[in-house]
Amino acid sequence: MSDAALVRLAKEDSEAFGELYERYVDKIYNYIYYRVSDQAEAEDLTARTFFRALRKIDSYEDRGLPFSAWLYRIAHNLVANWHRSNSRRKSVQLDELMAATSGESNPGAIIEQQEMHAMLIEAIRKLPEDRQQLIILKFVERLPNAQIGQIMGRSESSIKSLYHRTLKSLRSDLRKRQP
Amino acid sequence: MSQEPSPDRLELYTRVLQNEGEVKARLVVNPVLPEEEAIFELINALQEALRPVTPDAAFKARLRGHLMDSAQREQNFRLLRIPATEKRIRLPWIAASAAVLGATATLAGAYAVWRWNAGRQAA
Repeated sequence: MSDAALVRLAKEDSEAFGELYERYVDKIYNYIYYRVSDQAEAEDLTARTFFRALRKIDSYEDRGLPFSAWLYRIAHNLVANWHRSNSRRKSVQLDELMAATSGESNPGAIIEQQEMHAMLIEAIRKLPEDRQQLIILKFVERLPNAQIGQIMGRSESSIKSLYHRTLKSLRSDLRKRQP
Repeated sequence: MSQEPSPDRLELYTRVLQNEGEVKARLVVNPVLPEEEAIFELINALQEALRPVTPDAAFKARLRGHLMDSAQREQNFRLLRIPATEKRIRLPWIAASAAVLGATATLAGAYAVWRWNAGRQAA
């Protein structure tokens, strides 16, 4: 069943909302996890995203914006609020993030890979918020530019040039960091 | 002549890398300009570092349960034509009516006690 049909049903049927939840919980969790780098905070913000979606689903209207884009926008707003109220940065959380995503089995290679990934993630964190959002949607969620554009409220071509500028700026930052 | 990689080539490399792997991605952008090499390496590193993570299964099940309970409650309110939790809280005239009723009851009670005391003293 399409998302649009499920959303119509979900206004009256809790099971339909449950199905939408199953479809998107992993994606929303991933998006939030990479924005906040903390499992407990990511779980809390994921729960808030879905509770807010449940509360607002009556007023959701299909105006060409996919349901997923609507959900990502809720998550994005919650993450932005979270960052505003949590200006602190915890370096220990970065280690946790690295441990959770490392795919290597050789200890030496793991350390080297983790150092490189840590440097990269630090560089991503220094990017403006819209560029961070783009990188996560493109690499973690693997969404096409058209869908990223819908989520971020930009055109597909604007996403393409933002991606270009983001990569150049990341490359330049990483060059400065490398010894 | 500028050797900056074009947005189209970066897009093409990223898309093929994600769908068909690095070998195929290198083939479709071949020949690679020297200035492009560093950016393609960066795209590879992003692809490697930003892997999807799996949320805890217990967390997912617990959250689903809470959401279903909440959705069911809202539906019951709708069936009974009672405004849902948020709406009830947000309806200011209901809150105002409750406040007025409460204040009236308090005043009436105080007045009754005063009358009773005054009656006793007069007696």
